Amino acid sequence: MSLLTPEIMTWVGRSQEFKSDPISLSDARGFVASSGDDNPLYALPELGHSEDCDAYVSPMIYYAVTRPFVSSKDFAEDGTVMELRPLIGTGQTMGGSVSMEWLEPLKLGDQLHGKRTLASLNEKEGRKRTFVIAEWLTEYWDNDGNLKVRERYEQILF
Amino acid sequence: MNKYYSEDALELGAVKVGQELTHLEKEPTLVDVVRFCAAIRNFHRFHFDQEFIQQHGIDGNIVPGFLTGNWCIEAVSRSFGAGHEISSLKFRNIATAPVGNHYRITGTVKELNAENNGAITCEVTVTDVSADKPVTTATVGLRQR
Repeated sequence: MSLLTPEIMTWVGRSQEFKSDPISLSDARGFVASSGDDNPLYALPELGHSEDCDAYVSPMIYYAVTRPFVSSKDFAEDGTVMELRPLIGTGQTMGGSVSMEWLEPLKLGDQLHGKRTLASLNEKEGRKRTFVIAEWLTEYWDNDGNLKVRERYEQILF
Repeated sequence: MNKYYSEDALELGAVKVGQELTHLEKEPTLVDVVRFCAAIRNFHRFHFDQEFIQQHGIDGNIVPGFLTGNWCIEAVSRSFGAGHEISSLKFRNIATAPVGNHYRITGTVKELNAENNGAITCEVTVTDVSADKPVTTATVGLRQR
């Protein structure tokens, strides 16, 4: 029996909008410290960044600051946030391929407004199980309406 | 003196297709992985819950894909001097990356775009040296700041 019921397929084309908190110095410090990528371009005084780099932060931080804060009951069994995604199979998920384009660098204080759209759902047969690949397309703007990041994410649902 | 950039930092206007990037070596511990998961607010149990991941047929905890993806960004950033910024990243995790293994990040310049202010793309691979296999492949874009 297919994992993709007619009800689940109605999710295709749906969009969600969300807004992050402003990117803080703590966010920036946490990402640099944990990733090990202490690029002096990123706006931390201890990295010795120069004043003309205009408070850049690590590009991947957009993902961190747009993750929702939810209560424990809103987590799936695998520790991921259920958010607004179709419940497929056991409700678990793994990351697939991701592509991002930074049209402008991210900076301290940026507050990202995102719009995420479920572009497609495709069922596949794996070695161990049947799974679904969800294709999510997301755009992120700052408070001035500048498009900062475009993301295409293939999420594996099973 | 800044030690982030490689001693022989590359310049966008002078690189050639096929030119090698600075190699990186990483050996993430479970503490490193937990810290990164907290920083990106991703609490997938595959990254820190040994019992849970073994129930899914995988021997031990695995490094988050976003971390191996960021290693690819870091390799490109370190290879070029100040004055450049990352413009894009496309990555795919082609094998699980066990926590505690030794990883080498290598890459080459793939494409030059003289029309776009000298922007380039690089192909980068994260290889599990311990298991002798690639775990992440990526394409990273870079441009003048």
